[in-house]
Amino acid sequence: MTQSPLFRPQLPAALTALQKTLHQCVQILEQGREEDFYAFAWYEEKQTQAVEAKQTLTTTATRDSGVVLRLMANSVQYEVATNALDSANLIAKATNLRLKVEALATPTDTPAYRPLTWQQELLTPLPADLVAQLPAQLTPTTAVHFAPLCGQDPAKIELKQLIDLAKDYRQQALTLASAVQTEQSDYQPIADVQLMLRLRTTTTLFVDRAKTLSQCLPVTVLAGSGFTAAGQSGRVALGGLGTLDLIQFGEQELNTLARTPQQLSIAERLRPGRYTVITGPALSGIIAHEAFGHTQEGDTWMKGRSIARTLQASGTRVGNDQASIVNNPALFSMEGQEAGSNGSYYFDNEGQLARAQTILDRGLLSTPMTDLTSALNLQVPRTANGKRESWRRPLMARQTNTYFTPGDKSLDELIALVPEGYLAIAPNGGMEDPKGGSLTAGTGYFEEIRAGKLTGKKLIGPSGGHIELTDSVFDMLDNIQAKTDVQHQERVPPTQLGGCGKYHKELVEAGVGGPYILWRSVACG
Amino acid sequence: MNWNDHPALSALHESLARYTADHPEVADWQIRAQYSEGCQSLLLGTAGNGLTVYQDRNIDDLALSLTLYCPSADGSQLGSSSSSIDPKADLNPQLALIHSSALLAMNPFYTLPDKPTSDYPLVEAADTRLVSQLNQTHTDLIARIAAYSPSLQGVQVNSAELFSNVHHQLLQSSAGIDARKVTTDLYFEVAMERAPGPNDQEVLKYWHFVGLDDADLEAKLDAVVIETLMTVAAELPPSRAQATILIDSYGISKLVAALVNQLDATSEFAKGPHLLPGDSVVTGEPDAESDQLSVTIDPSLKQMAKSSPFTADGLIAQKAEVIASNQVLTQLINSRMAHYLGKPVNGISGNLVVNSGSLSKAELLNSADEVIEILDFSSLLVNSATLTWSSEIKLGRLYRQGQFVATLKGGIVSGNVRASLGGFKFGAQRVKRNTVGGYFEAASGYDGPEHMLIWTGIQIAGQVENT
Repeated sequence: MTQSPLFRPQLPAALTALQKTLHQCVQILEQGREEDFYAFAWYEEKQTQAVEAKQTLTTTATRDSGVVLRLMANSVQYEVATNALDSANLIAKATNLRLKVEALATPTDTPAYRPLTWQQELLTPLPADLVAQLPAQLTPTTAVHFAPLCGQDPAKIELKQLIDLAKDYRQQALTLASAVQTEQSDYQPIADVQLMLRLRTTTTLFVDRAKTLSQCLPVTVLAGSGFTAAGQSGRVALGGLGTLDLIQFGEQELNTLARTPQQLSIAERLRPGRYTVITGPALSGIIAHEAFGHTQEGDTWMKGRSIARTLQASGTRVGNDQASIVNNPALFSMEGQEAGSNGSYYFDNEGQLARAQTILDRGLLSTPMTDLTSALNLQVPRTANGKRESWRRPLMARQTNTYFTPGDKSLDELIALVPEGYLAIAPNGGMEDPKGGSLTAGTGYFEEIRAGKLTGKKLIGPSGGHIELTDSVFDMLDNIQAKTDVQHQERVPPTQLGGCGKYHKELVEAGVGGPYILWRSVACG
Repeated sequence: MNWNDHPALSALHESLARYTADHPEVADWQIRAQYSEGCQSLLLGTAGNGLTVYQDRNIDDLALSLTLYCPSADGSQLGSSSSSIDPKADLNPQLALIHSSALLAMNPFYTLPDKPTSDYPLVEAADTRLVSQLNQTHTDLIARIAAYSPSLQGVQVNSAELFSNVHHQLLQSSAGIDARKVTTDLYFEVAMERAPGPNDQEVLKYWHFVGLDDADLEAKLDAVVIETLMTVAAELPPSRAQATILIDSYGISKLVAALVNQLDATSEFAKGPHLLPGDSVVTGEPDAESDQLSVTIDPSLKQMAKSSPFTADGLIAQKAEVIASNQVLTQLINSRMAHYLGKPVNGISGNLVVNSGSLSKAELLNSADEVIEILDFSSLLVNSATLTWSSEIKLGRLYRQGQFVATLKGGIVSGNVRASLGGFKFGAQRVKRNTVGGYFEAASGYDGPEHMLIWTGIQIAGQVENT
């Protein structure tokens, strides 16, 4: 693996010309009506190289780009979105949108949203990695570019490197699987190991009357599974904000692919019920994301679809002193990794600069994570949570990286606290119910704990599949008994790759993390 | 929209012709193109159950992609790679990159499908009103929703979304395949709760439609009101090692789609769980009282999500009964899998048509001492390998001897599709249901029973604590 000096990807030169066109579009959209119109232009480009290594080898390369032009008038966000990116078309789109909105929106006395100038922006502290990349002079037209420190230049990574890595890792897993089968022939053997390795660099531009921003966000992902002919599987997902150096396979990953599915082929089934459970970092993160993550999304508050709004207003405690959750787009290093997760960025899809927000502080709720619409509607602070699946889709208030704060125990100490219970480290999705105050999160299997020690026994779900954990959010957050500590300087726990479909659609990248957490009693089935 | 005169497609063909002439090792190619237009509206509930648009979007999207195929010198392998094409950028370097990538991804050789010997059939996969007047139709639908919502009684409408889309699709290959279709879809969702509040429950429902005739938005709103009014004083379900549940067509379509996925020859090739002709879809001995499952795959149904004249690789899409009386009749085999597995290609693809039963919903509820009707799952995701599923009950109803006892919420219901097919009954009422598909769930069209009573292979973790 290349160990060259750390490198921040630059903005491709071709996009500088597009920035000028976007400035023109913003002027066309709002010029002369700045008192009651607010406009911005957004460009998004996702350049992807991907390899799937299984019995066959598949490669794809895609470049998907598009522009969103927005004009806000009378609290309505009017947008046109296109991937015909020539200047003439974009200017025509801006002109037509202006005409449409002028015809629809009658002038009101309500003043338009006024974006913060750089001077105003810097009155509130910014994360160090953003400050480090700010030019000395900041004007509305100063091109401010952000990118993470990467081990390699993502533009120079070739498909062959991805193919070689994916094939090598798959072969290592298959070799180990054969050895495991030789050792323990009562296991059902591994049928195959399938791996997907993907490098996607997302480049975005944002232009409004106050700022000219760009960012390059390379995200490397290695994901896959080993499985038996009956379908028992072990899954891995490695990577983060950066390049191939983030996807080193270790013993743990190989065992997950090669050994775990075989162990699960003879695993006992869990009897449905309530149990003491320790969740691993990814599953803790899913619970954080589903518990008071979705419930703390501003558009959900705005629509009256979250219980959190009244609970926050009344100062009601919704969890114990251990229940603290952070949403942090400005996550650029964490416990065990000097890089961010896939929910990390420098500014959101509406040009709001990234800052961490504690959305649940020792059981007490904050104001929500917001997009522009919900911040204005609710009259609460704006945060950098305006996101969309792609330029094709609408914008909503979405989570970035959501994690529980760490505690003060080691994992061994946590396990020692459990007379009878289970360790759950293999995440398997989750779902929110912001109005009903319940949550559900899945795990591929349980590892048995008896008398404060792991017994080595694994259990699968009552029907032979995964195990679902569910409870009232309040009960769950009141049942946190202890959490593990971290060594990271800023106390950011391990935060893994994740994705979120809000309710059931609009997939966005969203890291999930936290310490190992001991929960006193959780419904499992 | 006319692909024949499309400048980006013409330019790609010209470049491709030059490139393949210069590089004869590029034996075959396949072009996919899609031009989409869409309208998207997000609506916010206001006083008196008004709904006002707060995000209003118009989208146009042209997507071109190319796959190149390069056989090895000895003919034993075939390299291929796919990439999107940027029509505004120089095409030759893009073709060269795909070519070089194809040489890195060599797989056992397989033959690409030939041009069909007959014309593609006419299949109505779109609503012409959406195709010809997308913006106006979308505006009219928004007006209908906004006009009807204030009449809803006993509820508070919190939000709604409406998306309207038209897609013009094209598939061409070096073998002469030239397949085209136009599809339309509508997505409508609404969230509401009982009025007056405050509440700790809401009902969120969503639907996909292909045509306007199915988009009975007012009736959908009325149905959500009825369900919303049920959200009172919910309790946890009872724990049961062997529960009897009633699910609706949403759940049935998910279970059957996952099962049919194991009939896809790709599942056999992948060496994971799969079903072969002659296999029973039931594990264990079926209950004598149980119905039996029969499934037909039909690509020709009017305005359904999986209706199409052609398959993903350009074959004429074929209708076939794939499961009859619990027994697998045939797999779904595309060209590549046919070659790899040494089986005949059959091009079976399309919507799920499922047999129905003879009982009404009331009769189904009456047919067991205790039935838990699942009105909403929190998240019903069936594991396509193990065919198991597990979900929280977002909203349910408990019946004993056919009589309503309690509203349910919470707890975990889990099941195994093949075990459940050993003890079930379908209702007599039939419905059509579409899922356009996306990242979260695969596209599917379903024409089958609205209700299914299952009494085998279902567990519920609810009220009773462990000892």
